[in-house]
Amino acid sequence: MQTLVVLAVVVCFVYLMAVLGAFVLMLAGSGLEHARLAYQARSEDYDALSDSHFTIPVSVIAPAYNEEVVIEASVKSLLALDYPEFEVIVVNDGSRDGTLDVLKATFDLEQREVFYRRRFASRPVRGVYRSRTRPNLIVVDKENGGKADALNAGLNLARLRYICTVDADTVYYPQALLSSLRVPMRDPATIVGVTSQVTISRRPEVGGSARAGTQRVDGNALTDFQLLDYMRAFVNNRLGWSRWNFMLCAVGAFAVWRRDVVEELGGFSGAFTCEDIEFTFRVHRHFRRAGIPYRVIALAESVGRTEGPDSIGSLISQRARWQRVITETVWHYRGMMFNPRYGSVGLVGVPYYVLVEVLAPFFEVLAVAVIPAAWWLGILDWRDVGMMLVAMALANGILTNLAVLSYARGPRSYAMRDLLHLMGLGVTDLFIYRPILIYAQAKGVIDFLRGDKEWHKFARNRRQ
Amino acid sequence: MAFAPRADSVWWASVAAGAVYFLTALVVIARRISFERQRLLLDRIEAGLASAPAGQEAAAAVAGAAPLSLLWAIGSDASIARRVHLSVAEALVLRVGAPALEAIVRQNRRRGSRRTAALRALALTRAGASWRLLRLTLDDSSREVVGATVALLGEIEDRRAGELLVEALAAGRYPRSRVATALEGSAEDISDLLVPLLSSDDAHVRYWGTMLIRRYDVPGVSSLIGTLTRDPHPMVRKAALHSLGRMRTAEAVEAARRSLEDPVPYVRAYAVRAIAALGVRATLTSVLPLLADRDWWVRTAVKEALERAGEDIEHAVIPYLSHPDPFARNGAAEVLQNTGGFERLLTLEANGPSDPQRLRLLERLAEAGGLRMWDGVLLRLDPAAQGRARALLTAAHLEAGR
Repeated sequence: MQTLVVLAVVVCFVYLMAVLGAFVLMLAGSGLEHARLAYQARSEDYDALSDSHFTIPVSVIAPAYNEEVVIEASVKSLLALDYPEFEVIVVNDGSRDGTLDVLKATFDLEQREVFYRRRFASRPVRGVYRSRTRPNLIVVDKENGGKADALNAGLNLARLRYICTVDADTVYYPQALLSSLRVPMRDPATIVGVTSQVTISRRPEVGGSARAGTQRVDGNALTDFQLLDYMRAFVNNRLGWSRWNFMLCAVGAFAVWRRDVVEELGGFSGAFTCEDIEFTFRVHRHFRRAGIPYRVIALAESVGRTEGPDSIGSLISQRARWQRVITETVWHYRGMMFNPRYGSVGLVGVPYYVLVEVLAPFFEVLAVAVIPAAWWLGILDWRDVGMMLVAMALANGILTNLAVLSYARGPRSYAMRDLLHLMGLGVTDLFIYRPILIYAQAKGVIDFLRGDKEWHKFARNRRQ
Repeated sequence: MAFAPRADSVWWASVAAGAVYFLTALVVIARRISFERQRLLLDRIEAGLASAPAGQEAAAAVAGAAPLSLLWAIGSDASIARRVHLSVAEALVLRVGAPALEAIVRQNRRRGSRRTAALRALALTRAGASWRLLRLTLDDSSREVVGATVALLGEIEDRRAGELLVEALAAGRYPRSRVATALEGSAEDISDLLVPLLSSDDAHVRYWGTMLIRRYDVPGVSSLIGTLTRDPHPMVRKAALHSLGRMRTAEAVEAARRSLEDPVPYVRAYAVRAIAALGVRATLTSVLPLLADRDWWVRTAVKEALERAGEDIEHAVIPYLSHPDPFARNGAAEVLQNTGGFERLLTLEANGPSDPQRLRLLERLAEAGGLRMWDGVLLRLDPAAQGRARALLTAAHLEAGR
């Protein structure tokens, strides 16, 4: 028994060191990429770009399912994007609430027959609506078929050269498209996809327009922990993935794709719980196999605010789904792992994903079980365990501070007291937030093994 | 235990992590304070500029007294208003000196923001060898530096900036779309610099020359662009059509009409858009046969062009409701729906005495547009007319069209 526990502790320790090493590597890459992007962004003449006739037109597709609370704010924010030429296609994916009614009333919609190519299969479209007041808005009402299906229905109607997939529970900043599209505009032949980060809010439709330096965080611990989680993921990790060209997840909340690539790959797949990670993997596989130079880029700027669950149950449901999606995608594309044919994606990206995301719940659960056992059996001294936890909490705090650093001086800068609040929260993450995630991830793996493919949309946060 | 991390090493790891944690927290706080100071300085410069009558002097005094570190930070940020940049640039030249700024720009291993700030200060004040330096940084090995120079040249209202940008465009040192964006905003007349691009051997240069020249009313350029609608490269033909849409000349109309038969679909689509932009009704009817084009993009362009023409074009569209091609029939019905023609016909028929010719037309529309188009139009009628229109639908056996 004692030998087994010792072995388990060693395995957990080795895993912890491997993850830390991987984080440090990604942090280095992200730091370099962040410096490059920040320099690029500071040199950019956004006024000239926003008036230019030479920007690339974009079709924004927003699938919506039961979003009556936030849909108005979300679509209004999309229509207010500061970009020369774009259209917004909202796809009501068989909502059972008043999403379509809100859209009809707010944007003065009228049903129009549109004859279009049905290039991508989707559940039947019940009607297409045009707005009397907003000529660049189209609303597609269709039977429920899931997010990928809704995106495919939107793709059939999209007319422009780039596709931007967004979420209808997110409120976007006016600069979102311009700050993202400026990158592929530099090299449209090579850059096939761009993603950017979103920040978390309990009620994204409220606030957010405050000037730099006065932005406020929610003040709700659970959503603030999620905000930090998003910041760390993007600023400390994904910029590094992007630098080394294995950006493996262009997030569903904001991803820009070259239209011809989406068409060539047959649109979004409904065979997976979520479409975003799977599509990004498919893009990498396609271009690596064909030997065509390409890039999928991550940017550090926040493009909008999305609703984060404000109850533990909802958070577990959401994160379990994410874990399931990651596991099922990595399992599906396991042939890319350590395969030199796929370059940095196969040799670094997929193994990194497996190490940090797929295996995490196994080792975390194991650690939670064996460390108390090791202490009880007298293998570990409780003071050493305590100090180790303190060191880990502080290491997490450092990662948080480095992510917060990018916000300390920028257009989305938070008020000083909120920055202090976030940095303080970063140290407690290990003891409060992480256990919830461990449970959710373990649940996600079990759900994957049970073959669950449901979306399990989390319950809408309560509005007072 | 042998495998366990030693107690003192764990303790030291914690101390080290704690130290780094507090250090990074201090950096965050310092950056935040620096951001705040920069913001306050910008507000004060803006306030100085707004104060009449000696706004520029007041702003210069504020910038002159500000810490240099803040001036460097502001000087490298292209998002800040040009008038503020000018005050900052003057302060930097005065306090750092043009030779020192030139030396910073020439340190070609540095890609930092300070280099851009120094270049901007020299360029905006025309101090020292600013033009030579701008040319130098346009050739820099770093794409970021070239990009910053291109954006900066776009800000400078001077013909020489245009010359450098046109050179960069022709040489392809940086993505041409971005150079074109910088040129597009130029207040100077640089048409004479652009005309030679139209006869370049490089199709990309011809493309961008054609896209940029359309802003200027240059004699003879319309016929030159007209000849480019026969260019071997479809991309150039597209650009030529795009530009011709803005030139309301007989040559433009003829060239656009001829391009409706171009073998490349996107060129045909641009020919349709050019004809729509030219706004000559007689010419617009020439796009109608393309309602039956094999390419979706072309058909979409035709429908958009016709819808934009509105009621004026409806009579010319009606025959296409009986076209042998189903795309053309669908397209014609969709156009009549979106111009409001369908709705008007139905309202007239529902509200007044029946007209056999109108009824026949409605029948053709029902066949070409289908059930959902009928339902959509019915919903748009007022409630009383809706009832009559439904009765009419049944009485005239128009459901057959469904």
